[in-house]
Amino acid sequence: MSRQFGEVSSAVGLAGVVVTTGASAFMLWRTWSSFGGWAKWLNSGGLILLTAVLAVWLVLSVAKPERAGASGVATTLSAMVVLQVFYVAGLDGGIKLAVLVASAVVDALLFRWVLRRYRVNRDAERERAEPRVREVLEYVGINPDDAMDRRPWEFSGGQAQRLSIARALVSVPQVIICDEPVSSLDVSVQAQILNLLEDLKNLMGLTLVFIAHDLAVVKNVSDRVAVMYLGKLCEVSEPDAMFEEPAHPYTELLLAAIPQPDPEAELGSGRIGGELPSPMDPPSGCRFRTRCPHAAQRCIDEEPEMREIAPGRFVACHTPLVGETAPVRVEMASASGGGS
Amino acid sequence: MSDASTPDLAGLDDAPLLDVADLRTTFHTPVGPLVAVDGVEWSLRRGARLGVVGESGSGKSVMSRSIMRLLPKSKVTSTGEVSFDGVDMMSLGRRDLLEMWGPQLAMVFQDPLGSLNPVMKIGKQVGEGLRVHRDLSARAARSAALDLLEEVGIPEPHRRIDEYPHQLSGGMRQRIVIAIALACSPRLLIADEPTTALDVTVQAQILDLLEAQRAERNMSLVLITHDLGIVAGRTDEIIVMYAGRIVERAPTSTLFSDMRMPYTEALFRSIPKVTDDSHARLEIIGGQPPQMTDLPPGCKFAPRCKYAQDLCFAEEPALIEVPKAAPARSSITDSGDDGEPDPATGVHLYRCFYPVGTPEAAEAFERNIASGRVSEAGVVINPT
Repeated sequence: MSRQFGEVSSAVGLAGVVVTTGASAFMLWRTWSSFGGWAKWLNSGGLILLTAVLAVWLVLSVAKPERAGASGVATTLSAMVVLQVFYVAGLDGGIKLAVLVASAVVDALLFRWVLRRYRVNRDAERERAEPRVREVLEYVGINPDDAMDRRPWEFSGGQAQRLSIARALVSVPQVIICDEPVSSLDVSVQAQILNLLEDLKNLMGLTLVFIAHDLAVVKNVSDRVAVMYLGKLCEVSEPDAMFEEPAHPYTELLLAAIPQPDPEAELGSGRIGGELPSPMDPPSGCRFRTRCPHAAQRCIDEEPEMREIAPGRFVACHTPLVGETAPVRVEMASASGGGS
Repeated sequence: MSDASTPDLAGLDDAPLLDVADLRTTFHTPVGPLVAVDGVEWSLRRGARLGVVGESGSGKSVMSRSIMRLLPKSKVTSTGEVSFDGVDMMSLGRRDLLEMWGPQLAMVFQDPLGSLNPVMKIGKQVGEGLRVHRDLSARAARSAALDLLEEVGIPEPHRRIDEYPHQLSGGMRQRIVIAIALACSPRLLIADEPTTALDVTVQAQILDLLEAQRAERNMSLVLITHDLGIVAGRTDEIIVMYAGRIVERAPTSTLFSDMRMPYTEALFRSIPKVTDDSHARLEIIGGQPPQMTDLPPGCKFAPRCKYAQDLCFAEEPALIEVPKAAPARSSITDSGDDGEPDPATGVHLYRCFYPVGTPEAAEAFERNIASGRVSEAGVVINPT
């Protein structure tokens, strides 16, 4: 909508700019032509080049004032005024003075016009965006009257996370990728954000890709969970089945690591020992085998493939905790014959 | 410190190692005084484990720094009594404090990268305390550092000792920070959110490490966190803080079986649990923690509390003890045989007029739903 408005008026502006810059260039060329010595290169076209560059820049900034900003336009105009001062230094007649004054007046008018247009454009954009911004802020539970004119650091961690979500929502996306959206938040705030995402999902029909390390959080938000280790998928399943009976040993150990708010809960049952291997030099075969309690010879020799062990449940493990052992592939059978 | 070398067994020593009484820390801000810690009182026996739980801004970190005397002198005042094994921490000068930090009290901070020196090899950082406090030579400190790295579970300590912090993973860095804290065998270790910046699997490893080292060295441990799940299986007693005050204090098993403070209940319910169904609605605590420079009169949690009545907004409840004769729920008597709470720390204190689990609280909740202040799901609709 504004684009059309912008194009019509920038054509008018363009003509104006061409006229004044043309006049300035001509006058400057005349001035400098009466100079000798060091200004020779300017005389032989350098000055026109300089003015042309300024003119192009001015045209561009008029066409897209929101990009160049009022100060960019102002700088260009003042550069042109400086060039005209050089011209005054080389004045040799009254007629030229009249032309200079006329061109300076045109410049000043142009300057005012550009500034006004820039401001109108900026204010119009703000005005057009405001109802949408208010709407989105209300979605994420922030009072727009309070928040609109505040700066990011004036908000608490939870509010700032809400604002990030609002920013993601403002262009009405179909998919939002949330990368660890709650891992740095307090539990109470975490719960607020998780509930908010759930509500927004239902309200706007969003698809969420939720990346987190806390499986309890993941279970709360997901319809389908994929567990990754060292760049590979281990297990893909619906959350309830996966949490009931994890199929991949890594999933099982991840589940055991979640702190339970229950003093009677057993601690230390199954921990992942050691460090994550370097992704530059991943282990042969199954990538998890160096830390897997069930690793066998076959896991060293052969990389497990993702396969379906139950409807909707996929796992990449030779000997998953649920379902059948992977069939031994023919070409691998002789190599891994010794392994169990 | 002549008795420092005599072997003490946990529980045999009645005198508390650390005694905090009426601790009050005030920040003098441009908008007025901010009382970050207000009249906190607790004690810790040798070898005991204390959990401190609360949201950001509840004053738990400021409390630990006040005890350690780590806060800057300008614009901050701390009053009250902090007695560490009979030594009055509040009256110590800079020189005496340097003597205390390391061999007596040590601290593990939340962000391991921030608490390590990025341009110093880790072996030197681990051995530094030993050189200062034990007058070890560079060579002896290095070999002690190697042992420490091994103890905290750093693989290939011979290689790692000459590396810089940025070459290690987050979990390993936190192990280094723990090694530094343990270097001079402190008698009290304060771990301030030691695992908040870490993955769950690494978190479990670090918490296991802290517990193993604590048991081995018969250290006292203060574990500060915002997650009740972390302190549940790893502490003897828990303090819940809100707006700089202790709002509930109880032995761990009692706290979970018989929580009285609505804030504790709300914190507990807001944790997603693996046993819940997927997409289960989490019970949230509406609103924000109070503005610390402009605290409401009455109970500080009242604006966000689903049980709050007029009385709660007018008058601040005192920290009172649960009457021993009448536990609110009978489950406490069943769990009494395994994790026997020590009589010295067995008190259960709370700060509420309508404690959770009592008929008064249930009535108050009903009244709040009827008046429209609280939704059916127990969330305060318009917390101010």
